[in-house]
Amino acid sequence: MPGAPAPALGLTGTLALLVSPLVLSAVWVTIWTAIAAQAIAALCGVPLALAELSSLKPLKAVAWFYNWLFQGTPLLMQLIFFWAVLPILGLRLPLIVAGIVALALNEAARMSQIIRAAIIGVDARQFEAARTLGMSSWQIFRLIIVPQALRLMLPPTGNELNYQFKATSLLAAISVVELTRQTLNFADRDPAHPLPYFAVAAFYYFAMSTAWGLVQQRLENRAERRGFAES
Amino acid sequence: MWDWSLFWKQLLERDAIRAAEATISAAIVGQLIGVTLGILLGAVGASRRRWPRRVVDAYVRVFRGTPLLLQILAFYIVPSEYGIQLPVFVAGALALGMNEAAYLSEVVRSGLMSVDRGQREAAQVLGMSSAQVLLWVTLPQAARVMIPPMGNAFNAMLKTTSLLGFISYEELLRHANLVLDTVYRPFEIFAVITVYYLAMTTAWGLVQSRLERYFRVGGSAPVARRRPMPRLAEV
Repeated sequence: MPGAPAPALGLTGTLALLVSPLVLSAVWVTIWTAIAAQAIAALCGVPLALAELSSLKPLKAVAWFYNWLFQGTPLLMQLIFFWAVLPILGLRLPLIVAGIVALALNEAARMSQIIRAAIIGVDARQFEAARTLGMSSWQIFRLIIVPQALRLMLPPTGNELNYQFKATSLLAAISVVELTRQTLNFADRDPAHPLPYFAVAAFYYFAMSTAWGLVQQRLENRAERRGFAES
Repeated sequence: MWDWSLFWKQLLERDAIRAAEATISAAIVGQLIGVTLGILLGAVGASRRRWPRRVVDAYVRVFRGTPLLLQILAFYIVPSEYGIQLPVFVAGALALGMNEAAYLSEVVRSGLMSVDRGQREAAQVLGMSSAQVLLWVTLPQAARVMIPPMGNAFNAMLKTTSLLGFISYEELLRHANLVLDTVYRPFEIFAVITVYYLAMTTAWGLVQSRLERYFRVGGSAPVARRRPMPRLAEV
């Protein structure tokens, strides 16, 4: 490498980097922003899904437009848009909040489809049976649809969280110091030897998705077992 | 507050149109790399040889397990450590394509596995080499299952090109950011690129639904009785 002043990190340096506070706090930001965005998205997805399923034309149209807009344009664009308009709207939100909101609004479109599919996935005969038993619409929704739809939603929603861990990397664009931004900062400071920083970031992204994969497996197994016990 | 004349001026600005072209060309090149490499990896992944399959699995894990943005940055930054500076477009399209290939390889693999084994065996009995079997027998049949996810992948690709702005490739989003530096009118400027993105993704959606109708999945009629399959050998 021509004119490289600092020596490469080497193995010990890389291991030290792996547990350095800067990296660990960036990992933590990645984890909690992903979880927060996913949780908000799941909540926002419910009214959207219900609007899609409703028989009211305007409601349907609104939901369709929302999905068209948010799925037809890049997430990164939405992120930067929210970040850019906040000062104009006079909202003095911290950057990270704008980022989480953008991630969540984008994800809500995907979640609405997952939730819709889960609601449709509940066997139609269940409605008829519940009707026959004299349950009200609200009771049917609350006692028949929600518990079963939740179980159907669990696997795809879990995959979405996995996606979200990676999607938070875009927060780097609005200079939220999560794992990718931190990697870039390191690489800027040590331009001659960027590889260890990328390797460390990749390691943590792997670790997150692997760890979540294990949790997800357990959750799904438990939901399935309970499902069998109830029926 | 909303300025129509600014909106129209920005919409028809030559730089905006050029940025849209840059977005489309990166998406097409990325998709071509993705489809080609995806088919290769998928074919290896569907084979019964253990070591090549493990290599494909590792590839998929690496590219699916880390964010695309990190990959783009790594493709651009890391080779410079070894004295190789990839041009922005090359690094970007390569990262987009290789990431996509990881996804498509699984699509191709499951598509190939969905083709009845008898087909392959019959072709082998006729004396075809395994490359011929893949090209002329299994891949065309698998295409029916592969087309919808590949179409979705291209739709996603049109949007993910926006990440190339990070390595200063001048696509639509970077164009918007640059304009924003001189004219701070985010509503109009983002509306402009939203129009471009929605036009692209919506137009592609229409093309895709025609393609899918052409390659209709399902139905019990054998493929031979439908329209003749276009040859997919060049893919």
